[in-house]
Amino acid sequence: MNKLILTLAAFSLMAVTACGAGGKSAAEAPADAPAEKAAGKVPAAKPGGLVEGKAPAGFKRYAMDNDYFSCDVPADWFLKRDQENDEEYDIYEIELVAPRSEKTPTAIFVSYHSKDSDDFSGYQDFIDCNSKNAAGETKNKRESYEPVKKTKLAKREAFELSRERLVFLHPESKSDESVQLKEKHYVLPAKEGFYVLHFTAAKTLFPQYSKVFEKVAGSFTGKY
Amino acid sequence: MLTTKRLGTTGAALTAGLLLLCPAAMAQKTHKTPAQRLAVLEVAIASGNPVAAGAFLKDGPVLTLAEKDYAKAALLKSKAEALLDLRDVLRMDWNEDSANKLSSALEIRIDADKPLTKLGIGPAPEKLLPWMTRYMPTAPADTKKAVKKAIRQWGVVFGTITSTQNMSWGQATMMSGNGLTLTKAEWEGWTIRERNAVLGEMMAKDPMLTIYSDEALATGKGDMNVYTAVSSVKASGALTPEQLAQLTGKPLADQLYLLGSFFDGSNIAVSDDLKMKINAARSSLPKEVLNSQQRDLLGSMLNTAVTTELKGTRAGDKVLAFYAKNGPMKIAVKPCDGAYSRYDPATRTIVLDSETIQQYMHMKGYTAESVMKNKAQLAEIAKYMSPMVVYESAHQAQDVWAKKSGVYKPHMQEDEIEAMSLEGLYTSEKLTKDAAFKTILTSSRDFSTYAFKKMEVATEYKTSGAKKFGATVRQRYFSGLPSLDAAASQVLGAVSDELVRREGLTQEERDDIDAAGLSISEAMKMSPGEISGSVGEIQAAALVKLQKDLISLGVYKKHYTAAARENRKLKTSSTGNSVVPPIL
Repeated sequence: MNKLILTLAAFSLMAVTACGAGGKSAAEAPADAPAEKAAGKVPAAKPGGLVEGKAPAGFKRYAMDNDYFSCDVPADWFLKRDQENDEEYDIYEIELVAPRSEKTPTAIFVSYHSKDSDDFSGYQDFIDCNSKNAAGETKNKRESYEPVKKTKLAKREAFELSRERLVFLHPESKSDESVQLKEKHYVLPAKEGFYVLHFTAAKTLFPQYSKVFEKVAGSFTGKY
Repeated sequence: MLTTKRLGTTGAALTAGLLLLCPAAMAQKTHKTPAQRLAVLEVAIASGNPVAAGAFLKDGPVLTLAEKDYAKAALLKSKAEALLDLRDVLRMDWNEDSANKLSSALEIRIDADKPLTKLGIGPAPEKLLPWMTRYMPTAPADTKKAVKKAIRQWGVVFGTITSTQNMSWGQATMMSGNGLTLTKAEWEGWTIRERNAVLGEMMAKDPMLTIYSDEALATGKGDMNVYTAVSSVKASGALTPEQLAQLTGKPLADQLYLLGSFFDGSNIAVSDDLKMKINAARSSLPKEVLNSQQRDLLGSMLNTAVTTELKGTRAGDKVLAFYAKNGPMKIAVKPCDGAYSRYDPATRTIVLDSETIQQYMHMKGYTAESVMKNKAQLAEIAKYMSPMVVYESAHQAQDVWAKKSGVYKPHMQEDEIEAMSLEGLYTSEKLTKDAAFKTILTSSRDFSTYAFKKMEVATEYKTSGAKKFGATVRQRYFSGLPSLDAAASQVLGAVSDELVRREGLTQEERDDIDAAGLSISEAMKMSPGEISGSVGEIQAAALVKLQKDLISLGVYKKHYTAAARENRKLKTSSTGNSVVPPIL
């Protein structure tokens, strides 16, 4: 009996670990997964996942919980979602990781920051925080923030932010291993909350994958 | 960085420690008078015993007695301090990759005229090896290997060649056209400094030897900034022909050191930017090195200075509230090997890296003496290092929580998310509110990656928000560290399997394991890897305890979620006055 309990306990924990750590390739992710909600949380009326619908070759359509947003996702990229954290932070987000990365992941994030989220007080705050470094600078030897541009995305008003930064991989130790990051954001104001589409890659990989980002961004539809 | 002790050797270390303690312990117990104790300790220190050295420096009456002969006492103290310092250095985690750093650390300690040499540990560095065998018998194998590489033992550097190595050496080559012949016997008579200098020369001809110089490796990896700076100074016309001759043929590290000494107290006409770049990159001049007494003093002075620094920021006030409730903040200054700081749970002390502080002193032209006397310089160092205090205070709070809760808590990604979030919050707030703090970091970042990294953490936290920052810590900064789930899974799996295995053993076999096995308190300090690697040597009660702690992670998740929420609230309240930038 004891043996059975021990084995089950270890197994169940490993299963939880696997779910928490993970994701699936966008092509493999079931349309209705994940459906479970963290204990004490109200389940989403409509859980997120891959959905039937038109998508260009090599892409699948993804819809977030409660249809907060939907967009095309590249089928051969790794789709990650941390539903528990999404609900904790009131930020509903998918992360798409490219097949090829360097020292940091090449990734696209599509997120809906609900009005209840307290990470940023609104889209202006997000733009403010992301258009300069913590010292309020837009340019120094290792960082360059482009001026914020007004643009249109999916027929909506949007703001485009671009930056390049040298980032160290071990900020708490003396190892100076670093990578030159290039990033691009689209920030979309909404009636409730706001949306962010974010592409990050090592500078060397940015050109190769930026077209994928633009396709994802171009296919974006928001509920609000 | 939260330190995790290697407990596989705890028992042996304890035994060895007790054995080595004997002279000191005997001095305390059997020799009642200070004179008797001093006599015993003097002999023990002369034989290189670090435990006796520690006992001597802590024995007030003995010190008072010794100081009646001031010169003799000073000599004895310097030997005792040198022994403790050497032991402290060698107790840090070293491996072959960090052997060059260890070499630099040993180079300034084991040399002609150094106190250790008077104790028979030098000048030939091979003398360190028998000392380690005698006084640090349980040092990890990695450390022993690193030491051999650090002292540039002939066999490690040149392999099985026992006769000669031909080499071309700087001016000798230029003047005579002939190289020098290097013999094993000569090599073994040289100090680490001399060996490193020769290796520096040889690297120019044999790139394989660049592994003996971090500077050469960095240069090889494309970090040419420092090299360019040295070249700029040499080409500036500001140096005298004698100074240029001294630089000729020297390895980059030596050139940097020499340039730093040329700049010191002179008016060499090169830009402040160049001077700062070179001063930040060079090793410490003698007057910039903080000795162990100065480090102790600086640590206690920083307690007050850092408290002042933290006050008035949301993250800082949170840290101070923690110490108001959980005992005083204790800061020490010591070498931290490859880290800027660490938290020592055994002494509940935040240790700030003395090398990082000394690097700041080089850049600013401060000396060990001036920092002790000048409040403004001390306040600058407190500002410079305060992000690390905030970061380590979070690790201390985690340690206190785990001990109060009585649960097993290894070092996990969640710890780093919490600690780095608090650091990022603090630094971003200081950069906004404290102009002097901002100036210190921004003026140092081009010469010190530490300064840039502290700004980077702040920027990352500010731009990402708490949610994405957590993901960044997991993916970019600490991908090699287990998450709570992964750690629990690893430990629980190993522990559960072992408990099942033990059910199949006889009572006698189980008793044997419990008699000699690692206790609960020892197991609680082990990493998940250590537990799963030595699960067969852990007492059954400890295994059951680990299993009970990890079978449900609610208590852990509740703690980390609460900490994350609290930090988020602090961030939200600190970003209320943001200004929207102009939009094109």
